[in-house]
Amino acid sequence: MKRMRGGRTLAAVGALLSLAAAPEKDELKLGFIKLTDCAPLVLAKELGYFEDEDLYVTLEAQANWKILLDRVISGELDGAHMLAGQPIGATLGIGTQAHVVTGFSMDLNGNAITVSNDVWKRMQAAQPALAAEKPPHPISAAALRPVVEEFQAAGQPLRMGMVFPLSTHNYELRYWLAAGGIHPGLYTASDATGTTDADVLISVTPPPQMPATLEQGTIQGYCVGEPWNQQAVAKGIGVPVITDLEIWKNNPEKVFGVSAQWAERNPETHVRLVKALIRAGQWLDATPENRHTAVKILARPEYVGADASVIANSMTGTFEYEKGDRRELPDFNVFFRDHATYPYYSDGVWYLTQMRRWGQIGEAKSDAWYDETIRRVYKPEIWRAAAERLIAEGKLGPSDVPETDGYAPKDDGFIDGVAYDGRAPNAYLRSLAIGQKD
Amino acid sequence: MGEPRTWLIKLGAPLLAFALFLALWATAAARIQTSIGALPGPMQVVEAGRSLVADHRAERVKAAEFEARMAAKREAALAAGETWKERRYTGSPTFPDQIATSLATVFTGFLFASLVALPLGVLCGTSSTVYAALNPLIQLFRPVSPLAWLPIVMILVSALSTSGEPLFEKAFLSSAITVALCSLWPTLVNTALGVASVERDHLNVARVLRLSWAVRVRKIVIPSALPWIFTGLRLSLGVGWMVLIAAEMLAQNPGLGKFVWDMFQNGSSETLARIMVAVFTIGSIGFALDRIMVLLQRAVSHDVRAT
Amino acid sequence: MTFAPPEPAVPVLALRGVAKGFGPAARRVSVLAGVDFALAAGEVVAIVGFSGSGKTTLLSLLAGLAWPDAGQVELDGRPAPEAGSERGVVFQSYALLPWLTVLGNVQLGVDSVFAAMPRRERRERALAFVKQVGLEPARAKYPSELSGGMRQRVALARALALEPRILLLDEPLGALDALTRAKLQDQMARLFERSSMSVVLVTNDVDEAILLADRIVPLSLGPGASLGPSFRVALERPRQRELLNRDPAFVKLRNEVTTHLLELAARRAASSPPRPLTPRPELQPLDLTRRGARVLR
Repeated sequence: MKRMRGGRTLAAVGALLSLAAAPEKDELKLGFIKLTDCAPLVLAKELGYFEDEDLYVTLEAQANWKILLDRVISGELDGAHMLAGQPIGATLGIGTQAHVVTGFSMDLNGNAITVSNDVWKRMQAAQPALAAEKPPHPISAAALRPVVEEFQAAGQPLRMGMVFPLSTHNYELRYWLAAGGIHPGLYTASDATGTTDADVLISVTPPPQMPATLEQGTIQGYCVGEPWNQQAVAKGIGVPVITDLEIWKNNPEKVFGVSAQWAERNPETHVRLVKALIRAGQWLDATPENRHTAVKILARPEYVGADASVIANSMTGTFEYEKGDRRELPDFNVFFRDHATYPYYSDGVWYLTQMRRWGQIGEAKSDAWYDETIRRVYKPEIWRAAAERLIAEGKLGPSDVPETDGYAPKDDGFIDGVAYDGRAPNAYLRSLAIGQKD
Repeated sequence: MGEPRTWLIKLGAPLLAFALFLALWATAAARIQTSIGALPGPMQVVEAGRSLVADHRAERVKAAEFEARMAAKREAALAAGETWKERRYTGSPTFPDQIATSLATVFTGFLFASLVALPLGVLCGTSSTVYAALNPLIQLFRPVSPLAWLPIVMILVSALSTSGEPLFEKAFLSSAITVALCSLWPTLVNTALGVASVERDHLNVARVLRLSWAVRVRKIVIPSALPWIFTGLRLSLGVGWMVLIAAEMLAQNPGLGKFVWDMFQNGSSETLARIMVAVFTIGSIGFALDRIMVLLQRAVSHDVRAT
Repeated sequence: MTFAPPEPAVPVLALRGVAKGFGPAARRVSVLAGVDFALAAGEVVAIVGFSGSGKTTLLSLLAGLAWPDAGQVELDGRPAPEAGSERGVVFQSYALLPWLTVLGNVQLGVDSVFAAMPRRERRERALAFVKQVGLEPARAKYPSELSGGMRQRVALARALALEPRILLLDEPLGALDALTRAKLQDQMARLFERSSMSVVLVTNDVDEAILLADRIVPLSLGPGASLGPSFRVALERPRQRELLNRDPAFVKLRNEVTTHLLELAARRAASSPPRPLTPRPELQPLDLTRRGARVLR
């Protein structure tokens, strides 16, 4: 009952709001990185959703995450496809300092960890169950431990790559390793590479170079989004051992980020952008046929550009762990279901805790600090404004709006079973075995 | 008898060499497997070229559809008595667009470079004090790679452009300025050399005629130094074109450099073939630019022995 | 008859005790030493000597293109200023500007000296001088399209167009073939006879000197060359080449001058140490005592 009433109020407010002003800026340039989860941006443009909002958008692929962030800050890009941790890290001043905000979560899940053929063979040698035709998944990092020790004994620590120090990939990789008893390294005041006390050396590698460096043996594994894991399988140079939804079910992955300054100057434009993006997300999760259409569009060279066959796997809900071992994984990319587009504070707080856990945040902080900080970066009110208008237009149903104060309920979908409550970040930190405890 | 034979050699030799190169390439390519597919041979590269043209056509079709939609909206708006703002098509740049951007960027950079190098060169050539002062700086900065300049240039451009609606895109400016910084040295050095090498007798003529400094520079020094200056310009343009591709890759200027990087990021089975199309395009354009400069150089050169 | 009377009062151009050397102080080579010379108004003087004896250096000093190490250059009795259009110069290498046409080269001089004149007049003037040297049909040609003789005539026209009081010619016909040389010598002879210019002609051709000049001054061999006593040329003007060969005065004078020069050479060869190899500007010494010959510039 309560939900229905909430819905009618929302509709009424929405009806008023749809008599909104014209957008402050209607010719926009948005940046993206060539990963499949730029899909909401691409489809919002290709399906004409941006045009429906009287926005004329140019999408431009960026060379790497750093350049993308710099250009959003400098104003060359109005907004961009960003890693969920980027707005947070930037606002805190880890790396380039700039106040960046987000009002839209682009997707959940979508990454995987791949290891080289050599490492996979060693894992199979240490754990014969993995040598079966269809090994049991998820594979804990404990299976990697013997291999790590082998490498350490040989004097050459195992090396793994991820895409950016503030990336979801970095934190997922570290979480997985730590959950299996492997120390991924700490960031300290004197060590910006995050390899203090590490059993495994983690470094930054740009996604397109990952397969090549894996083949060369410069790194023995990486954590990255698609199409780079399926690419490794297709070319026979690596084996994905775990997807990130198996590490943390429905983890927040990418957001749509804009500079705080831009958001302040263009509130109407911001809401309209989010409206179009929500619609695109909804379309992507609507039917499998839509996913197939999306694959064709993403395979175009100006978007993701990888071969359609490589993109198709993960986008259409399957994942190939080894050549021939294809499994159903319908949640590999979630664009709209389960309130995927809502920017929960608790999602952002998790990233803050991981930044503290690994030392990117240099000192202990109070629970209140976590709350204040995340409220500066994550703006669910923008999402709500957009959602209300969409409800008024009949494009969204009231059930699509989560009932929440911004914090998701306690989450226990982690691989190691540790529960996470966004309202108690310090308690959470203490409950994790490896890493800073407060 | 000599005439037709020399023509046969002039045309036949390069054609034969090129055919040999194609054959070698085709055989080698089939044997080399990379992580993103086999190394493309000549046929695949031609195919990739065709698909780039097809992409361009497809984009034009989308642009036309966009124009049609805008036309309809315009009609509706005007009919309803509202104002209508003209919209440009917002699609991604295609290969021909990127070629045009690269050419525009290199010429802008070349222009900046010439505007700095020519006057400085004349100054260095006419005054040994100025030359002594500037030479260490010239030798210090000449070997610096564009990849080292670019971050500094990008930061400066960002810091100095304060207006919200700049005349030029920052990426374009950063690339053009980097091209200028790297390509101004040959023009500077050659101009100085040319100016300093004016024949003593010609300068004596100027003295006997008591020509003013300005007239002397205009009528004797510069015409005498023109062949040198054009050699410098030609070298500068060549360097600039090479530097441009690297600069574009890093600054994200939407030209051929960005094209190569984007194709690399795609990692698709077409990637290598497309990058090779870009390689041949870059080479052909560089060759054409050089030929144009040679023609210009010949036009202004005089037979120095005829004095 | 062979030794001239003392120099006339207030010569138009004079050198007094001039010395000039080149090279760094430690290894300085003296080209000219103790040179005394005077040019009277309207006089045509030919300076003859061997190649490499410092004739061009001497001319540069006379023109004001170089300064002496010692002594003084005087113009009308006062210290001479830097080079200017009152002393027209015809260079050994013509020094035409290859990017200007015949008319353009001549007009360059006119434009700078007669800047106040309206443009059309200046052009007419330049054209007149081009006509005077017989090059009107070639006025739009570039130096690269001209023969040696034609280039020389352009250089001459350019110098004349300045209407200089003094004309200095540095081996103007040295690079030409015998026939062209003869033709041009005749033209120059006519020119000097008609005009009131004072002329210094540097040459290594004794016959040419006798044909054109009122007085011949020999230049001894370097280093430290100086000018010897003058030989007056008392032959009547206009001087006709065909007739001169039969004139006994001409033959006698030619022998006298030639003998004097050869004596200078013999004396030098006997007394001089091996020539030091110092860099000389614009000159490649032709060593008469050693084997081989080096190409003259």
